Amino acid sequence: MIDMPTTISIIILTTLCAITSVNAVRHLLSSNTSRPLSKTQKYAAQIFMALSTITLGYRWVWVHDFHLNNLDSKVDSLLFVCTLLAAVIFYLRLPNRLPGIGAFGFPIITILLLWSLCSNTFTSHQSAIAQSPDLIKTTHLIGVYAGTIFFALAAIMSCMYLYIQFKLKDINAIANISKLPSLERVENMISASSTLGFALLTLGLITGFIWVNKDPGSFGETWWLSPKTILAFVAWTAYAIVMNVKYATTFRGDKAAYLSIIGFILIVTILAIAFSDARSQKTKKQNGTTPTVKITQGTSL
Amino acid sequence: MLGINHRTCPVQLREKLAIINDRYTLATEKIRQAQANTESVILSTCNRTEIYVARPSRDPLDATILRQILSDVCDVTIEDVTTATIYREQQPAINHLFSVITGLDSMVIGETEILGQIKKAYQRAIKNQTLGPVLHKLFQEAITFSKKARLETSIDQGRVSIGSIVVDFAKQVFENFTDKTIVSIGAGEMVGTTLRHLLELEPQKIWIANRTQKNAIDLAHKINLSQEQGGARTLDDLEQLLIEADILLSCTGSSKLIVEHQNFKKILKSRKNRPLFIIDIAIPRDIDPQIGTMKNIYLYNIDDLHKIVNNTNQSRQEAVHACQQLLTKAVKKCYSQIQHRDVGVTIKQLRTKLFDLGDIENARSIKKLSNASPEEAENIIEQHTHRLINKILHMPLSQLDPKQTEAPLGFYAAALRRLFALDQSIQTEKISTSENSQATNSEHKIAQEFTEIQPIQGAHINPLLLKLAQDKLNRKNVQKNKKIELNEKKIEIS
Repeated sequence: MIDMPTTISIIILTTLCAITSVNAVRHLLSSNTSRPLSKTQKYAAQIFMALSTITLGYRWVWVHDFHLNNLDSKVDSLLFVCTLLAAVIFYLRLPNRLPGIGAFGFPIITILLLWSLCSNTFTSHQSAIAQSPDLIKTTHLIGVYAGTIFFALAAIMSCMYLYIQFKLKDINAIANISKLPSLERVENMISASSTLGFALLTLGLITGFIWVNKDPGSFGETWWLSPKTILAFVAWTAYAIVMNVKYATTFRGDKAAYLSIIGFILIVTILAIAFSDARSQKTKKQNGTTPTVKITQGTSL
Repeated sequence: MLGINHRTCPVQLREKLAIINDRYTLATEKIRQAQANTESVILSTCNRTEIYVARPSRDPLDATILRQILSDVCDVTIEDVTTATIYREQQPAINHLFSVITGLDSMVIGETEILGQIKKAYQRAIKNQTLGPVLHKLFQEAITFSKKARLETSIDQGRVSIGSIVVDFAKQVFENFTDKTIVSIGAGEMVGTTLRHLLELEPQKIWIANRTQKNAIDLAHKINLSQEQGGARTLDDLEQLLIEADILLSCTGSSKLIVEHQNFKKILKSRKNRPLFIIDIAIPRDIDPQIGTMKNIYLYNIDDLHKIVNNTNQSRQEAVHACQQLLTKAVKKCYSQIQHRDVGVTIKQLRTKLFDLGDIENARSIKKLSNASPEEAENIIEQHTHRLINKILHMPLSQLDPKQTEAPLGFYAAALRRLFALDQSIQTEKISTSENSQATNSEHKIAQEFTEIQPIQGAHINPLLLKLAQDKLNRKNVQKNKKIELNEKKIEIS
């Protein structure tokens, strides 16, 4: 179980994020789209960032005792992803960047925070990485989670792209999108986010591959046939297409946006599989049995 | 405020009455010379020339002086100036400035340019040191209100011309236009007007395709299109142009479709799914409406654009109503604040004058008191009070002289009754005030104890309240005495 301060903090963060989501959606749907964000929204954003950073720091210092591999914990990893994602969205929703992104981004962060809130039973688990930390495993985790942040951003922007495109086709609704960014800018941003996410995921996959080769027994002989590995490869391919959409013109426009959203869903599925693998390993250890599963264990992606 | 605008005079006269360059310095100098310490701000735009001046209410600046200044500075006859100008003072003048700054008085309602122009005029006045506390406050309030009104009422939102709508729509699809190609089919007046708007986006190329190439060349010359920027083409190149185009503008007199769905489908592959923004402003339409349903194609016709214009006008009318409601409140508040400032100065002057009178009388009485016996001192103080009251009342009472037939005696009398609270009954006065017509500190304490409200020094206290408070104090004193007696008894027993 996670400790009480963390639980309370995540509850507050989830509530704040939910309120911000509702406000952002209302702001997007309002006819006066040029109206700047209210003071309440600005304060909510500042409180959210401050509290999430404090919680991360608290978890790192007090709970994990300055351990470098605290990202093996589900709560910490989700909190890490949510905090960085929120910081990027708060920055992007400023005028002249990507105004309106909050309406698409904050609901996703709220869901991720709810997930972390419901996941307290697995947090005390220390995976193989935490037990024997080394550079490869740390790089693997950081690569994967940082990649997830950029994929989440790409998916959020893809939702935005589809929304703007839908509104552009509807003459009755077009007046309300005058302050949203142009389709071209959103498309460029999707491409940029996918490129960064792709590079980080590639780093994560390579380091994961090295890790598996160093310790082949831990992950089974057919680790490359596990759902996690296959899904990771599919997601990797999807993002390879999205980042090159200007050249792979068949996928240009809404197809790239859909592909980016599917890619993110795959990444989230991989995370869920990784967390459930960690749980199965923990349960088996508690029962005193040696893991004999052939599929991937630990939190390696 | 004295000024002219697009409604009061034609453009020829507006040009003549513009206060720009050297005229500005001359005008401010003339206003200064007309009456010293006059605050002024001069606003001069293509649609209006307005002079805002502020003077104390006791010493206002006459409108004819301002008209004469405008006439002299702009070298226009005084008759023309008098006919063309409007003059507003006090609250209507503030109302006018607030209307102008929010765009309610503009040719295109809600336009934002005027806010910047007023800010410039205000800053120029600061630089030239023609601004005082009143106009400073007024313009600060007006600028703040304008921002608030624009945010809360969306008066400046939406588009009002076809050209600006096309530009806005194009900006919604594309971010950067330096690598974009604009193709226009037709070379009529509408195409020319819209292309002028699109030229502001600085596209890479603009091609004008027309059945008669000469008309296309003429239009290219008209809109100052250089050879590097594009030029005229014939409709034979249409297929190639449709492949190259990012923005397609069409307005021909053709009775048939120029771009058909089937033909366009074939071109689509060569376009490599690049978005295409199409504006079809022709009647009957040039572009097959089916094309608009295709992916990455954004097609709008003239009806769509008119719909946006109508929506904008409608929403702006609603916004005007909301804005005017806000404006009325803001003007009242601002006017009262400015008046308070004026009243503040008057109160200060009144106090100084009365204290001066008091000082003169004090000096006189002190001199007499230095060698006086106690009995004489009482007389001297009484005389001092009489003299002081007479001196204070002399000025206001002299205004109530019935011989002055033109003076508003009724108004003065009513004001005096109100200011000195003469309608209160004498009985109330006697009870509520002490010997010197002022509540004593002890009475205030009593009243305060009872009501828990801090009384104002010298204010009248309700007699009933005072009586109740005194009763309460008496009861308290009785209780205190009883306690003391009890304590004494206890001591005796011990």
